[in-house]
Amino acid sequence: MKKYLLLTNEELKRTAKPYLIVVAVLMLLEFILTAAITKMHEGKIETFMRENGVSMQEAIDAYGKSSFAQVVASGPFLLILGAGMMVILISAFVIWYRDWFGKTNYIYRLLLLPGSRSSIYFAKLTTIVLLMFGFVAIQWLMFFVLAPLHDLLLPPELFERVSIAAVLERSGLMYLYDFYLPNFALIYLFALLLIVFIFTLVLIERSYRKGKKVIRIFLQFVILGAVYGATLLVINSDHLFANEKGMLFLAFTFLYLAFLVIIGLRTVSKKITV
Amino acid sequence: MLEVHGLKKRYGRKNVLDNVSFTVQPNTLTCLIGLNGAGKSTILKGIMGLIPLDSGTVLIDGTGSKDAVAYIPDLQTMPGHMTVGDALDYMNDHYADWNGETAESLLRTFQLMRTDVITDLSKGNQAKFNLILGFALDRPYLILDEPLAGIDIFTKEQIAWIFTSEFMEGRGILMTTHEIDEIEHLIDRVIFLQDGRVIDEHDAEEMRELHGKSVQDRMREVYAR
Repeated sequence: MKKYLLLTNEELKRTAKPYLIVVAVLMLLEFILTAAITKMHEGKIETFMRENGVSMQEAIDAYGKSSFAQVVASGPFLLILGAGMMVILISAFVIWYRDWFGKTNYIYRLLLLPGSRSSIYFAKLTTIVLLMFGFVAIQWLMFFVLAPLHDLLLPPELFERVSIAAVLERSGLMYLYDFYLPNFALIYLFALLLIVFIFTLVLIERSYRKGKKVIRIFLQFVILGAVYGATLLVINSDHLFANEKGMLFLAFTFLYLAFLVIIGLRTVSKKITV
Repeated sequence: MLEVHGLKKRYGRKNVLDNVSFTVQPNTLTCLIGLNGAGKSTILKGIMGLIPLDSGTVLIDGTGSKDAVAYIPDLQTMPGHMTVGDALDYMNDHYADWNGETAESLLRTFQLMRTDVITDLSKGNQAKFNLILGFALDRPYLILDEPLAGIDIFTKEQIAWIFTSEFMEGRGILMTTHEIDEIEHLIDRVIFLQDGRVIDEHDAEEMRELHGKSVQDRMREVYAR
């Protein structure tokens, strides 16, 4: 346990700086985008009024009121969110590869440390999961900062004040912030599955490096992934109640996750090559 | 005693290690010698479990545990952002047999500062720092991979000094090196490797006294065949 905590602390220290820079850039982009989209809407209303000599109410009738939900639901804003998620997934590759290809060969030290090598795996996994939840939480806080900003940038008659719940609902982001426990578990179990899948791919590549064996093992995982996907499709048929589907989704996802974790741990313990 | 029995390793169709066996006794310096690609580093990595072996066993004082061996590779193994002090604290946190006094003593001897950033160290200082990480572990066996490679003559002399110091006492050392000159007089046993096989093995003292040959002389004979 001590080894796991020490390694997690070390991984977080090594990741903090680049992570905070990326998150800060994305948040800054969200600020700029919110201001730009809001001001563009105001500009459209003003232009329409000027060119057509109509009242503000008539312009609003033509273009509608601006709401923060519209800003979030816009393509560019969702693109920034997607970029954040992509950074998390790329981090799942980087957190391993940097130990081989960084300025130093830290993988030697990690593998030489006394005690079980599973701590290395779980420390890296914990780090990525914390990065993911960190990003989701920061984004959640950003909604509470950007929504008033949006309203502040417009005259009161030009915007419609909406709740954060409505923002999430209209932008399709309610799945990320679903606080109903089974749904929350399912969404983040999927995310965890994706991270663990990446870990398994990296560890197999780092163990066998190249050749037919790597391709064969990759294909096995693709086939297993397809079987898993097909199982979910079958479960999603009309013969089951929603809660039964949810439980089966959870059970099969958990099984596939456990399988991938076991493969990853076995690879780190027995097959990995510096 | 560190015992290596029948190590085998293949990369594709190439036999990198072919039934390699030898022993390292406590309180001796055993040198693995071979041309580039002979399998020296692979043997050391195999002993430490850094690469999977196809077959063979490694026993350290009769057990399979590696906790009695410290490994000093020829590259930097600590995260680049760390200072020397951070790295020593890291070792202290992770290793129950870390000897802080030895580390501080060697730090003074090698004139390294705790505030030095690891990636800013010169090649020679990185080699010294690696030695500290290995020698400050209270372990009866040490494995060193090319500790003298690519460094200037004065640093080599400083590093060679450690093998005659009190930090060496009682320890069994297994080392690979191409730089025989600096440590010839310290070597107790020499193992010659070629194409992943042990082709010759000698007690260095016996070789010098009975046959009047230095390790380098024997090396020329073996590899010039």
